[in-house]
Parts: sequence; structure tokens; C-alpha cells
Amino acid sequence: MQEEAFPQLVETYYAGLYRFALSLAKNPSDAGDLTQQTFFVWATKGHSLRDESKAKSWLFTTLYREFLRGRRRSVRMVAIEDLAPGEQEIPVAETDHVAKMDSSLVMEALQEVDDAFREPLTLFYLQDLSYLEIAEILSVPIGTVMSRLSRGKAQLRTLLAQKAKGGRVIEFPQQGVRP
Amino acid sequence: MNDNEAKFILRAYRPDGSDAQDPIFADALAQAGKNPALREWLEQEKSFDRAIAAKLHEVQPPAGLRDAILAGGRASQRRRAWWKNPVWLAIAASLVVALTLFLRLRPTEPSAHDFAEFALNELATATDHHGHDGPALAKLQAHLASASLPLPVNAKLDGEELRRSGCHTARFAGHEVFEICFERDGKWFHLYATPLQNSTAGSAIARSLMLARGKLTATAWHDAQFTYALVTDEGVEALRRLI
Repeated sequence: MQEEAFPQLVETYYAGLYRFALSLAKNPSDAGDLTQQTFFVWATKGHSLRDESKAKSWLFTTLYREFLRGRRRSVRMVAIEDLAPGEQEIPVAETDHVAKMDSSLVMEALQEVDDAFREPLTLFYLQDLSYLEIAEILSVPIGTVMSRLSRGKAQLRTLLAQKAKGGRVIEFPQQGVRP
Repeated sequence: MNDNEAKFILRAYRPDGSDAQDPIFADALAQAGKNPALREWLEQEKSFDRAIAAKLHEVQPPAGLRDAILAGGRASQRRRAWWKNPVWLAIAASLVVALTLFLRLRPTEPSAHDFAEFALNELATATDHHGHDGPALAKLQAHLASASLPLPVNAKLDGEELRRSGCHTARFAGHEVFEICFERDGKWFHLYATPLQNSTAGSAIARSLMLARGKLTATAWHDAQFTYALVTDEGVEALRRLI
């Protein structure tokens, strides 16, 4: 890929990458660093990528790997079949609530979703990536992506409902340890 | 597929319709089309997803992040060693290949020794000698046969004329070689001549070697225009008398 394409690549993807980084790192400073680091890796190694159509997946994958590299993870993972009894009874936010909320509050709720669910969920809401591409970026099976999206949405709805009420966020039950 | 399974799949369906053609959603979408409750659920789900996506897109990167990335990228690209740039790599590789081919394939001036070896081999393996096809060649053969002419300084060949006369030719180290057979004092001699690629104006250089193979003897020299080799099966003394 030509060096002249670099500014265009930045223009097209830096905002989406930053949003994904913000959901992972949970603070703007680290998110900015992650985004910059991703393009730094591109500038030094990305030229070996011959297929320009793969640039988007390459960038999101690189950002995710950089995030993982910088952080030892001991994150719990909850399988869809392990839903706690009664969890479905927790009030959930509806579209009207979300529309009235500040975007920073929505991002805050997203950041409180469990890591394992937050990663595919953020990529899903960026809307630039299919479930197939998300599976590729996160190196997980398609079924796992669907499962985590389903669980992540449920968590997000609950968190949004709590924030809409201005109340304390309910701690999500820990039921497993992510490998 | 029951409704729960359809919901499970449709939660991965992007609300902007980007996945509409993906076959994995086809059955679930078809089911939603037939089931009003599921259809309503899907519409609510899409509406919620659209709202979240819109909020997410309202989050703006910090001012200056783009410029910082661009500046960092430019600096990184400048720091990259030139030889890691695939364009330069390709150019360098092409130059190496071209230089190698040039050195291997370019015709080099034959040394007198090599040319004498070639002439010996050529005569030893030749099946047809002494012929002369055109008048110009016949004239040259007569000229060379003259007993009063020492060869090294009097060969005076004209490549174009030799070609026109149908002179027998061969190839040596990428060069054309003319073969002229002539008789002097009842003895046959074979003169091989190849044009120099870089003509050196100036004096002729006398022969400096004498080679033998079986009954054949050869000597070689060159002047400003040609490298010559003279071969005979009449012995060394016969050659020395000519040069």
C-alpha cells in the first residue's frame, strides 16, 4: 500500500478506532495512545499488507492486540446459558431513554459492560464491521460473537436503565473466569 | 428455529441493513416476517441498536489526535530504512539482476589465447574446408596466398564484404568469426578473424603465442580492428614462415 494513502486511512478510520479504544481503555488518554500506537504499527509494518480491503480489519485487530498486550487480563466471562436466575427481571433501558441520554453517559455504560462482551458490542455499534469481521478481529468463533453480543446487549440495557435513573449501577454477577 | 434462536441470531444483525444479504440471517428474518411478535421485537431491537450506535458516533476523538497520528506516521515512514521500502527493494533487485545479466551476457573481447583455442577446435571439428563462394572472398584468398606478405600487418579484412561474399562464419563468445582458408606454397592455412568491439586505433600487436593440438598448430594476434588466429596442420615452422 502506498504511503500517500496514509492520510486517507487515518481520516477514514481514526474516529472509529478511537471509539473502540475508548470502550476498551475506559479513559480518553489511553484511548488516544492506543489509536496512535495502532497507526504507528501501520506506518512501520502495515505496508506489507497488499490487500487494501483488509486495512480496516487489520487496524481494528492491531488496536485490539495492542490493548491486550498492554494489559494482563483476568476477566471473567459469562456464557449465555449461565444467566443468573432473575437477571431478566432487572429494569432495562428502552430506546426513548437512550435517545435522551448524553453520549458520554452511554459510553460510560458501555465501558462498564464486562470486557468479554464490551469488545464485540462496541465493534457492533460502530456498524462498520460484520459479525464475521468482529470474530476475525477478536479471534473468536462466530457463535461466540453472537453469544457475547446477546449477553452484552442485555448488560448494556441494564446499565443504561440504572444510569437513566441516576442510581447506582448494579454489579453484574461473576460466574466464570475468562481463559 | 424457534423465536429464541431467531432472536439470538438477529441480535448480531446491524440495524443499518448492512447484513441484509448475509444468508446466516435469512431464516431468522423470514421468521420475523411471518411472526408479528418477533417482527415487533426485531423493530424494537433495531431501534435500540440505532440509538446506541448514534450515541457512540457522537463521541468525538480529542482535538489534535488526527494531526498527531499523521505527524507520527510521517516521522515513522521517514525513519523506515529505505531498503525496507518495497519500491526501493524492487528497484535494487532489478538493478542486481540487470547487472548480473549484463556481466554474463555482454560480449567480451576474446583473449588471443582463447581465440587460438577456439580456432584449433573449430578446425578440428570442421567438415568442409577451403571453399570460397564470392569473388571478393576469392580475391582475399589470393591476396593472402601471396608469398611476399607477412600476415599480421596485411590481413586487412572488411567484415561487410566478407559477409556479402558468403564467407564461412562461426560464433565465439558472442562475436561473429570469419573463416578464410588460403593456400601458400602448397600448404593450407586457416585464418580466423573476429572484429574487436572496442576498436583500438593504432599499431598492430604482434602474435605472442603458439598453441598445438594433435597435428594442428595455431597462433593468434590482433590489430586495431580484429583478433586473428591462424591454424594449420603443416607444423609450427610453416606458421612461423607466414608471420
